[in-house]
Amino acid sequence: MAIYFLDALGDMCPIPALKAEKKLKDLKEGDVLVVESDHSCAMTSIPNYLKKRKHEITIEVVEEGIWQIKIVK
Amino acid sequence: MNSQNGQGFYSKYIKGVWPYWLGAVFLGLLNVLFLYFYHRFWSFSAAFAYWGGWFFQELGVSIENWPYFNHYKYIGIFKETFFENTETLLVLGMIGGALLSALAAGEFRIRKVKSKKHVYFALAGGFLMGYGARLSFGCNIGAYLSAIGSMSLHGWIFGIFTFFGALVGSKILIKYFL
Amino acid sequence: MPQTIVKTKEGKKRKIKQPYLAVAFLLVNLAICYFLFLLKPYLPGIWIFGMGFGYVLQRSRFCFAASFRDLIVLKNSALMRAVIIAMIISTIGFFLLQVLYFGQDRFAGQVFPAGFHTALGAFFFGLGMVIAGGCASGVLMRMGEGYLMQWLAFAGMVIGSVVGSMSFGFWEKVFIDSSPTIYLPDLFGWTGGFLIQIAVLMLLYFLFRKYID
Repeated sequence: MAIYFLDALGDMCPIPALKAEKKLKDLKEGDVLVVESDHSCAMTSIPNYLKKRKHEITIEVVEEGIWQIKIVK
Repeated sequence: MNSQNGQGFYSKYIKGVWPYWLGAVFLGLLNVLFLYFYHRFWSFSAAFAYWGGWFFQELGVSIENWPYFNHYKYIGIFKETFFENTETLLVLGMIGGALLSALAAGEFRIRKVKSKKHVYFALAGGFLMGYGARLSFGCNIGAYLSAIGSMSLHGWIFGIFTFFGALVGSKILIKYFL
Repeated sequence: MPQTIVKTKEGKKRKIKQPYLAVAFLLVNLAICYFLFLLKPYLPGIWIFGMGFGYVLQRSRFCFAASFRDLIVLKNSALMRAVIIAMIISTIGFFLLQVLYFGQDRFAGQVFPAGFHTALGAFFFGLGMVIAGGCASGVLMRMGEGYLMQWLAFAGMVIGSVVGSMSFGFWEKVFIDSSPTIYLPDLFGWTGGFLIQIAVLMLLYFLFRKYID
């Protein structure tokens, strides 16, 4: 169960979601991808985008205005 | 006990993110209320043209006969000052409201621009928006939401062609940023 | 529904100070409203509406650019459907106010000539909003959130607007003066136009929900 980190700070939507999807392809089931974004829409659009694939998604507020979206494949 | 309730309210409604549909309902209602009080729908992009007009006046350039300010509703530029102008107050108020919302939820953060590419795209994109909005008599609010709300066809055309522009823009975005 | 947990990178629970800044900012707003009132009594109301729009936009992450962009890139229509909801409410409110209340003072709406200039302007707008990272309202919203990139987009918007207003005469002569103003109530009557538009909006809503989500 590996944890991968994706730094999407400074990227504007929809880039974080697209980068996350790309990275997610390389992960094995059970791996975790942590996407860090400072874009307020990412915390809504990434879960919306990936909800069809039934990933478990948790969002943490790391600092004021920075979110970490944890996706379990 | 009271602070427990306080925590719940704060984290759900002030810190929590509102779902899109709720935002839509509030925006729609606010728009209608605005129409009720001020006999006009929410629209604001003309503010930017007004600022330019007032700036030119300060420089001594005459804008008295410019078609843009004389032929449609933008004649307001000659009747209002900066702080009296509805569009200007809306623009500044919207920035303030977003600031208030972000601060209240602890989401405010100065996010620096990531790269030179972002700078160019922001400036170019903004320019296109400002210019395009003058041709269409408004931005995504004045020529789209409010125009369609007013049952004018130009709003629908705006929506359709904004889609095509967004299509091209998305391809460019992915090509340069993904 | 994903949970949101607040903690710093070190793992400690930190009391957020920004809400206190929010209260301070609210007080600043009271002062702004007071000075606006001295200028003209109806101005504070407009300011409050602006604040209200901005607050709702930020709180719900509402962006029209994203409504198109998510549709195209993420094949998700949630925001687009929300936009339709806002349009439906606006249409209903407009119809009721125009017919029941405005009476003599009709055409309080945003009604302008529709033609090639609209299509071109919208195309520019759509292109620009996606590459700038937000529509006009989205840019204002993100300025309030602290995104410097959107402050740049704002500068671009002001310049573009000024250049646009300068070149308006050209567009008028070539397209706008000869373009029709097509107003649904003119074609179908108030009730007819209203019902047709609501029907189209609701149809679009259900089509989006069924096919793109």
